[in-house]
Amino acid sequence: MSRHDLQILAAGNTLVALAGHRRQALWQAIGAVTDKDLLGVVSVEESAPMLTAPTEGQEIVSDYHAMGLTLQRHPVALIRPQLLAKRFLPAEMLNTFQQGQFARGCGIVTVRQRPGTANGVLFITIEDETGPVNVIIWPSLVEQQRQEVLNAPLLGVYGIWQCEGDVRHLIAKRLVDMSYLLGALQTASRDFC
Amino acid sequence: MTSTPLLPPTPPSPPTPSASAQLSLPYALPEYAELFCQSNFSFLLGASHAEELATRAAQLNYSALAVTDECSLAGVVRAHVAAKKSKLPLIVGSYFKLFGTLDLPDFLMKSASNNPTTIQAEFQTDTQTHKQDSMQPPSLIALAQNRQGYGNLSELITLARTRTTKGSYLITPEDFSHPPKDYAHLKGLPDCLLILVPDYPADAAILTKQLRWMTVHFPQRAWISLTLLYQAMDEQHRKTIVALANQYGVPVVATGKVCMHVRSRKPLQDVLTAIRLKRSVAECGYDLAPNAEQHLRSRLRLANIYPATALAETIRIASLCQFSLDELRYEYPDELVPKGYTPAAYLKQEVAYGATQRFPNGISKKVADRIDYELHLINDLAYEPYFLTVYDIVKYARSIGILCQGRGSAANSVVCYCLHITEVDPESSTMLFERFLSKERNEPPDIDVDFEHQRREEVIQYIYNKYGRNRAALAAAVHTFRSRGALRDVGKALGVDLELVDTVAKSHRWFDSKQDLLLRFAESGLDPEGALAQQWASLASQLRGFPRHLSQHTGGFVIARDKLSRLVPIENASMKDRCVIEWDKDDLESLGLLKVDVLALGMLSALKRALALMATLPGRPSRLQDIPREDPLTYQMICKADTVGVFQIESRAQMSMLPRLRPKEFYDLVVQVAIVRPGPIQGGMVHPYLQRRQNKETVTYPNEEIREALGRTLGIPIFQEQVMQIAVIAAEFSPGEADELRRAMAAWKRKGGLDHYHDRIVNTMIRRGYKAEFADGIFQQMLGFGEYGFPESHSTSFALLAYASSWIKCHEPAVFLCALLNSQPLGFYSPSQLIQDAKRHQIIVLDIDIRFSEWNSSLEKSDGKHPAVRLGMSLLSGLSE
Repeated sequence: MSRHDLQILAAGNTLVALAGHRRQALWQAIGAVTDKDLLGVVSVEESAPMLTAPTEGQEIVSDYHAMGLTLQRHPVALIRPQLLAKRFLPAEMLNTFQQGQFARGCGIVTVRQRPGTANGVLFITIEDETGPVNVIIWPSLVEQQRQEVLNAPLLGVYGIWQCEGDVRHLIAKRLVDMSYLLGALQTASRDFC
Repeated sequence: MTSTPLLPPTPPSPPTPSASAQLSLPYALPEYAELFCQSNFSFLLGASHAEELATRAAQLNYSALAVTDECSLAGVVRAHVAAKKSKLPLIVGSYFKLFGTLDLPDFLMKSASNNPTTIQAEFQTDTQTHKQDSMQPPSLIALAQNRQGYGNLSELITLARTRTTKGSYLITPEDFSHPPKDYAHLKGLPDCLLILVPDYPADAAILTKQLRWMTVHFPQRAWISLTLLYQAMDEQHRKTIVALANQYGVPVVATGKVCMHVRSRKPLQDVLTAIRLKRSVAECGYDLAPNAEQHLRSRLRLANIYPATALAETIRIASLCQFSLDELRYEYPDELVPKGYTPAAYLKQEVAYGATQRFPNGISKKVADRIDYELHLINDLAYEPYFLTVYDIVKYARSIGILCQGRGSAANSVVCYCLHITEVDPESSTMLFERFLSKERNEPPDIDVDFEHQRREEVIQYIYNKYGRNRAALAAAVHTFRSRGALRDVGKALGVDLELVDTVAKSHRWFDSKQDLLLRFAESGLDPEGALAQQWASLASQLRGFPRHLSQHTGGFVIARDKLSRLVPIENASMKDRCVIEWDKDDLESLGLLKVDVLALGMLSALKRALALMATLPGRPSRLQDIPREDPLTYQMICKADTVGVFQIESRAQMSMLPRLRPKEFYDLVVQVAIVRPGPIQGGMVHPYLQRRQNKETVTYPNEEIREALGRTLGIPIFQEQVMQIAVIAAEFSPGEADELRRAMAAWKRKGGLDHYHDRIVNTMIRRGYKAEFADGIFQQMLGFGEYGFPESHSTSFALLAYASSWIKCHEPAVFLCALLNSQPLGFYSPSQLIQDAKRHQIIVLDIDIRFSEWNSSLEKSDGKHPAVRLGMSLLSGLSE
């Protein structure tokens, strides 16, 4: 197995049972395959260093980097305290809101859509640890906050809750790019616009 | 920077001669046919669409127009359609730059026997007195005189295109004197007229050689073109050509070397030149055309500059070229029918056999009658080979275990059901087969077949192997300039700073209007009112939609009985071992040529995997047809819009509709799939349908006929064929006219042309006693349909997959997740979202672990109701399998 593949396996945290946590596994993966270059003939005896285990947040960042998803807690769960401080509520709670209520939601943008038939309305789906929230953005707001609409990976939405039976939407009034809370986390959305 | 001096402000296009002027002029003006005209299918050279050229030529009262793209026939169908509309005779031709040298001594030996010795003597003196560079091979225009000539031309292009890499061609003088073995019949390009295109200004020595070569190889079929574009050397050029032409007895014909339909396209022509040369316009210098004369000029202008005989010669050539693309007849492959059978008898036998499998409990009279009726109709139209072709492909796919399903208008039949092309039991729906195989329309039926996306290649290779590469090829997809690409290329051509080009292009989205574009310019620090920004925006919008290159269609195969290359030129695709024809699906449809769609569908791969996984679980279906129908739990799940990952009804728009429509049975799903489409949404069908569905509005029908057409959809037309049906029932359209209406509906956004239908439909309906309100409403709905309405059969096929995937998600969510993860990419959601959704449904998802994980995700035993999903290594980005 090539060093490259071994590193990917280690970085994907697939070697826990054999080599311990991600950092240890990576360290060993690099050492396990002998160098083919200049130092190939030199044998270095060294004991494995004591590497501290990565924090939960670091694990999640690495998970996303390795496979674009995580089986740990949802990234938004980690920043929930900061979000609550700004009164951004989880999707689960928003779903109990009444028609016409003011609502604040924040989540990772998973889909952006701007169907040709919707007269310029843009649909964004944001996801937090409790589920997705469907956001509707009117064309005037798209024009005003183009940067946030098209580029923010973590989007905070101030808006008005709309529900009709089981169909629920958050009509955006103001958008905030909350990406600074994500730190090194790289997320991807599917954009149809 | 300030404005670019080479790009003057766009002048208005020359006025069309008024009706009165046209009446008086024909006596004074010589007739003219343009024989050298390149559309924008001569990529980065032609600055007008083929349609524009044809329309403009007709406006100028040209006697004919030849579209002669460089070694290509890609634009001729569009030109043909437009020319037919304006009643302009179109000549099919092509322009070639020959490569290599005029190999005279070699040629001399080969042709010495059938040529007088005087020529031999002349050549000998020539080779002694002139240098090698006078052996320069000519540029030629070849025009097809008749069907044979067209076939030869098409084959020559195929030869020139397939022996080099994609996008280029290679043609040598030898291809005319002694072509390669397989193309021996192309010697001298029979049944085509050849026009020599001299360089400017003409060089007597070179031209002498070329003329001799022409007279030997194309006796009585050779012309020499004289192109006068108000340039400095015109007089000398003309004299040289006329003198030599007289000497060798080759007639001179006037040509315009046209690449624009009006002179106002000159700025765009310059930009195209710059893009082609990968420089800015300012750096192009003498490579730019010195003036804007290469447009379709008025006959007055031509009469003032060309000798009358040269103009008259264009008419003579035009009268010799009688070929029309309408003469092309498609011939179905015939090897599918075993010896001793007629296609009809064989099809009948196969259908009868299939029927016994499909209806094991006996065939009802209704079905039997229906089969008879359909076979009869197919027989009348001689479409048996088409159905047999599709049948053969589907049979092969099944034999090696590839899941597939047919859809499309002609798939709407018991015959297709019996042949196992479709899975939609025609008894369960009310579809009308004859609407799609009408006798009035001489057009091929349409069946699309979806295959598992990861195994479609096997089917494609099967087709290639069965019919051979000279008989089967993929339809082309014309790749056009999109907004961003156009902005980028025009920006570079205008010499804008590359970083600025990048910023502007990146910030531009497809939905931005021109106004938005100017706003983007302002954001990037350009003055939106300035000349540069204005030019940039207007040129980019002109360039948008120009063809850029040909790529392959997603799966439309054209299969011919004989050589396909005599029907349409074939070129190499960028993918190895693929070849494409030069026409796209619209072109094929315009000419009524058959295409079989072999498409890839990710959901079929996922279903196949899910079925395989379920086979390992006790009591679960392992075949698609074993999935229990009309399962209430599944519909409950669908009504809650709990449909992440399910086929078709997983999008946000679909999901927001599900709790309102509340599908309770299969037909509801068929409607659901069709209604959340741009067509019904824009036609305003959704709201009334919802109102009626939720019993908030009573359903009324103006009469019994309408009830029959619209009853199943609560009085609202939702499927494409319903709209046509109403046109027939209420507005007295014949089925053929209704189909024309369907095409007009599909194209009105781009082309307009529905207005004259308005009066006809509304007035007829009012006359027949319908309320004006109702009539108008129907027409508005037709407008809304635009390009995107589903035919019912299509919707039914999709609903079948939607139901099957919903059932699996409902009953075996772990299996469902696992199958979807292994079939990526597909659908609307990423693996992350699929997993989040599964976890919310209490499915245990386990980390990738070197000890347990396989390459694909797999199922593991768990304590819960459902197995756990162990993620596979395939999810790790960058890992090699």
